[in-house]
Amino acid sequence: MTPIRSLASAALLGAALLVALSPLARAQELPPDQLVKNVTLEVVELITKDREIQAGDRAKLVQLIDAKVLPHFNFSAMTALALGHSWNKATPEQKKRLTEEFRTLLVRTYASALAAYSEQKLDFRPLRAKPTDTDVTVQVRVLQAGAQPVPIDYSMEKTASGWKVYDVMVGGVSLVANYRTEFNNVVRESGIDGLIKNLAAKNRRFEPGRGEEMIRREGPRMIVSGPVTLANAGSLLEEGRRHLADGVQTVDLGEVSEMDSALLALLLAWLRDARSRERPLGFSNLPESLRTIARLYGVDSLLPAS
Amino acid sequence: MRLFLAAALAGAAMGCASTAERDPRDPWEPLNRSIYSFNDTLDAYVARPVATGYQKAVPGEIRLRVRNFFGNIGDVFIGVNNFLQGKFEDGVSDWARFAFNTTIGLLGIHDIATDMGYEKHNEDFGQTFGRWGAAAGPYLVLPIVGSSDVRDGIGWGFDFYTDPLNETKPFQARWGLVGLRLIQTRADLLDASRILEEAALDRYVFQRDAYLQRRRNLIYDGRPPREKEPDDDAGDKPQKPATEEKETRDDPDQKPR
Repeated sequence: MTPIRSLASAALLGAALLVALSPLARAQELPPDQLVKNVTLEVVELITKDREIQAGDRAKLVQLIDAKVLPHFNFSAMTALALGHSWNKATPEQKKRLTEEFRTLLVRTYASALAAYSEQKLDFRPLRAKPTDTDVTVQVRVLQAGAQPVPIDYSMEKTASGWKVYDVMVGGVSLVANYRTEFNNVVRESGIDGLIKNLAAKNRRFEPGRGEEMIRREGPRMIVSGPVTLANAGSLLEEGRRHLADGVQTVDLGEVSEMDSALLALLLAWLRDARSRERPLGFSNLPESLRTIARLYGVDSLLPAS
Repeated sequence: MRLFLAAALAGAAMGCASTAERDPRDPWEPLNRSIYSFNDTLDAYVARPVATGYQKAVPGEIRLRVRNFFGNIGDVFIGVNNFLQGKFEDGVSDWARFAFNTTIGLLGIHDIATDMGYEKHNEDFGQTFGRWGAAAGPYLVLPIVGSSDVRDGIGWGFDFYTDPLNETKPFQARWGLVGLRLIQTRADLLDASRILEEAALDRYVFQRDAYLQRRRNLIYDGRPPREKEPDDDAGDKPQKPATEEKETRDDPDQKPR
């Protein structure tokens, strides 16, 4: 802090100090390959050790990605690259919306890719770049038994706030380039606002809906579909209670697409409700990950199958 | 045949509804799209449920042995294709893999060659033709097989014809093995297909572009030469770094912040 204060009081001295300090600061900044390695190893360690994430808790996984991975991505650069020439035609407001929606889409995709990770070995390749380079490719290879290693290349650019990823290539497929045709097709047909709408609709499909949209009745059976997370558990609880009072005896979970521990809490709450009314309640098509969570919490014997 | 005709008609009808501007790499898009949706239906009702069941019923350890077994058989012609492409060192490595894995690795169920430093490669006749200079030709979706192009389609014919499993007798055993290999392959792709579903706005386009990028990368064994940057963005398929450097240079002015 002292150099900054001296800069304010004596500009010349301060400038001299800053010049003297900057090479030092640069030396302390992590090189891009080291950054990728550290972040990857940390995230892999966290997800393999976290029993809730292992059991399929997507909300927690997304939280982890938000905290650990996202700070190292430059989403506006990624969105600009994915749009190509159309980016220049967008207004600042449109650019902001596009970046937000694209970011949501990429985070979800990234979460799915990470959820599929099952302790494959990682091979961090030495960086082939000059120390003065500001645009480098960091290569990691995923080694998997009985198959060719899958190369993952991170294109990274040096910015004022450190090295940032602006494209990821998996097995030679550039993520950003792969969206370009799709995006431009939509822009050509319905403009940039059309693309924003399209992306938002895509993202919403994977967002938790409200109870009344997600519960369907077939006689004494109620079917829950879509993602069940903390975000919509409350509204599902109320909606489900209404159906329970109306004679539901079986809850079918075969169409639940995504879940976290909130689903378990929800089932137990419904069960308690049914018991207090002395009505039978059973569950069918319990997702495997839910069983795992239930075992983890030691409540698996409480869930009656039907 | 009737199915094919129906698909073609459906494709023609769809063609009227879709964009006027067509991707130059995919002039047969309407027909391709209808074959794609046929494959998709087949996948949803047959392949995916079977593969999901297989993944649930068979322990991971055994699935790995199955994958290794078929991977080992595949190494024979991966080697042949490396020789055809003049990559003798790689070809010798592939055949060494086959020799070690077939013997010490007990008919290939243990991939000990990888531990010995012989890495598995990915080669096929389509890549060989590409290496020889054959152009990809228009993008093509084959029934059941899926994404391809004219060159890779012909290459696939050669792959199919030279498949060592063809020699298996009796034919029940042969189709049993072919079927098991299909199920194993589909099971290995379950995660990928779920991710595709989440990532793509238009799965057909996303998969097509990924296929074309992937094949180009494979033909050059992960080191494709830079592509010329087309002025028109319709056929844009940027390869780093030429395109991206240009784009990122434009970038700072246009960032929202």
